[in-house]
Amino acid sequence: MLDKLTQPRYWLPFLSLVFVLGGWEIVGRSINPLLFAPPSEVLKQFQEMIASGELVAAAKVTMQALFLGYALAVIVGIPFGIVIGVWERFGDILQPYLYAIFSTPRVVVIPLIVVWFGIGFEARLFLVFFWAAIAISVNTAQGVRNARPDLVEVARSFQVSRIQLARHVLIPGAVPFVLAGLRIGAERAIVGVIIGEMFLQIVGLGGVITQGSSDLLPAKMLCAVVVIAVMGTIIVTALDMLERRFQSWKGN
Amino acid sequence: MKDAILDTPAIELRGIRKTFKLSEEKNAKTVLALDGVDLSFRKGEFTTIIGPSGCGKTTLLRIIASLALPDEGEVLVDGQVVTEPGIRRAMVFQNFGLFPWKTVIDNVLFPLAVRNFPADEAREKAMRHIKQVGLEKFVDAYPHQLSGGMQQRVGLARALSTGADILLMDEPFGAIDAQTRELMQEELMRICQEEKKTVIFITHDLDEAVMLADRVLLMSRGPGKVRELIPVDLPRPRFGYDIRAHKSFIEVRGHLWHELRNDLIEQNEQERS
Amino acid sequence: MRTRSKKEIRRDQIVGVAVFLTVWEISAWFVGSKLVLPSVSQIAVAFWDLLISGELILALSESISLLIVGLAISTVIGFILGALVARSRTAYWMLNPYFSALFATPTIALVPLVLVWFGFGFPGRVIVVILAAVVPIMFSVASGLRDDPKDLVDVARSFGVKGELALLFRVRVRAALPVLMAGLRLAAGRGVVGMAVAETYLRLGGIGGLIKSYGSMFQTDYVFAAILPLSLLGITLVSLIGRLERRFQWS
Repeated sequence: MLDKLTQPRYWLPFLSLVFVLGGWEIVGRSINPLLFAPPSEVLKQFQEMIASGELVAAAKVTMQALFLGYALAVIVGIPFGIVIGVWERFGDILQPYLYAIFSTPRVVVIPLIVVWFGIGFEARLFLVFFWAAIAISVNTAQGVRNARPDLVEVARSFQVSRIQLARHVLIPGAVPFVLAGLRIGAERAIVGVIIGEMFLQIVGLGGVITQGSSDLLPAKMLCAVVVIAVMGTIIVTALDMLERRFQSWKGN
Repeated sequence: MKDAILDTPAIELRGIRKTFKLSEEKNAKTVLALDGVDLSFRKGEFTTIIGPSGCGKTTLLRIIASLALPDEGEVLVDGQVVTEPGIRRAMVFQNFGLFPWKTVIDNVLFPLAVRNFPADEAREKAMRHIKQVGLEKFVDAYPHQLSGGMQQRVGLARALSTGADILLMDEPFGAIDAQTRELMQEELMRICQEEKKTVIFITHDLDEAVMLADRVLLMSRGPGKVRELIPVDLPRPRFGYDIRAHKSFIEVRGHLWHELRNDLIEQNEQERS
Repeated sequence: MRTRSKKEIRRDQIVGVAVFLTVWEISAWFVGSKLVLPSVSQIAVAFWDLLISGELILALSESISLLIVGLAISTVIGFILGALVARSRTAYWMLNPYFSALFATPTIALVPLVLVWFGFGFPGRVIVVILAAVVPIMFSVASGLRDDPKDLVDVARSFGVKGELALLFRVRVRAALPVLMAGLRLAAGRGVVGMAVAETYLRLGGIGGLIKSYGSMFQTDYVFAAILPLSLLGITLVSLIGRLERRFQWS
């Protein structure tokens, strides 16, 4: 174990972390505390927020909208993706609109969201759900449509029924695409909930950032940013590992 | 030779004609791929098909497999007209056609799984054929972990596991290196002789065409027609001696080379004009 | 599975647009509130107004200049860092964690801090765009340059190409172009989001600010009218790069 730790891949990031934290501390101490906070200050703020329960409460609020919205996106997205993948006509017609909505930054759509959903939980949920669902659907559809025609013919030569074709060829072939969609959808979901928390009702981790900004407490803001970054990294890494596990047959 | 009239041929082709459209538009140009092919293949006969590129060999094989339907004409298996793939015919594909997400054993089991074979029986049968092609040590490997030759052996085992007595092979050894190819040719001949398979085998390789076959089907360049059916009168088994030195081999091969060479020259001239 | 021809797809899409607009118009009439769902005609009128008043052009030019500057600087920085990381394992292990974390962090979460540190003017906004766009470029440059095209390098050397820098530009970058273009496409998308976020956060001008203004005045028809060019901007940019990407695909 100790042997592993001495590998460059472990102590180099550690070393750079030491440098970064060190430099940050030095610079931080000399700048106006209303604008900037050194790591020591951030750490202090972090401990305070844990002790008061503020951070945990905020994280809970964020995760509620995030997980519910994402779960809904998966439940709706995958079947819908299969539909638009199989029903080509419908999928082709719908595609430009899905793409347009998907490419539009959500921040500018906020005024519309407010008019339609208000500023509460439903609005945040929509921000998470809708865009994640589009990502999942579109990728699932691609997976369904990208069935390798040569393998479909191979299956046909062994006289498969439609269900068997789906089971042995179409679905396994689509899995990598579905997993990619799940990962992209998760990324979108995280951004969605934070946008909601910063532009609608000021709650959750996004709310801590906005609050910290108006209270002129950069340490608080940094805390929240770090927590969000860590959360995002964990979720995306987990999905990445899932993607890899289901593609062990691909090799390199 | 046995009197062909008393045995129903394993495969019979009557008046096969096939045209392809070059694009999806209404008035697109068409290409006549096969122009009236009549053939019959006896049970247990090994026929190789050779011809210049574009002569319709693959199209013909796919029609025999019922993966494509002819515009005119019929395909008969054991005297019955067929329009869909069936259990009597199994195909071995040029690019192996293995499912990358299935292990070797699952790939070989696939035709049996599709037919709802009881699991234990199916597994036994699959293992038997995997052993037959010498891959028992790679039962749980994925295709990407195998070399081209090994993948093609899996394809062969899969075709054998169907129990089909008619094997349709589309340049199966084309993507394999020379040494492995020789081994596989031997194995193939051994298995086919043991199990009395009827084989239709497409190849580009003149040596291979003569070495494996009971007769060689030479096709003319497009539109595809049967140009010549050349019997190969060499004793079997064919791997115990230096076949290439045999008089019959040299004659047949020389004849094929001559015919194909003319075709290639004509084709070049046509393309240039 | 019969694949449909491009003509057929186009035809269906055009019919789709007609159907879509009709359904919208009917729904808007049904809902009857310009606030909740303005009709297509109301949006068109709002759009026209924005156009002739010059508001739209002004906002778009602000946004586009922000985007171009931000993407240009991101490309330069991304290229330098990516090349560095590709060549040096040390650099990779030291820098990678931070940039991965940056990539995983929603740009919006960084905006308040950045604007406080770097001001609310153009520089602050450019930095937001850079933070959004630099990482995909850096990763794709690193990935593209890491796969050493040994054969091509040998060929170049045999023709007298000397020196690492020359080799870098003549051979390695060219070989890595497909991956680079893919990264650029992703960066463009994220850059547009960064731009919109920077502008919207404090109504700081550009098209994002315009949308926010009309949004806070609850003029939904103007909001829709202003969102349209923004979406088109993003889509056009990404598809242009996509086309370039395809032109450079030679594998």
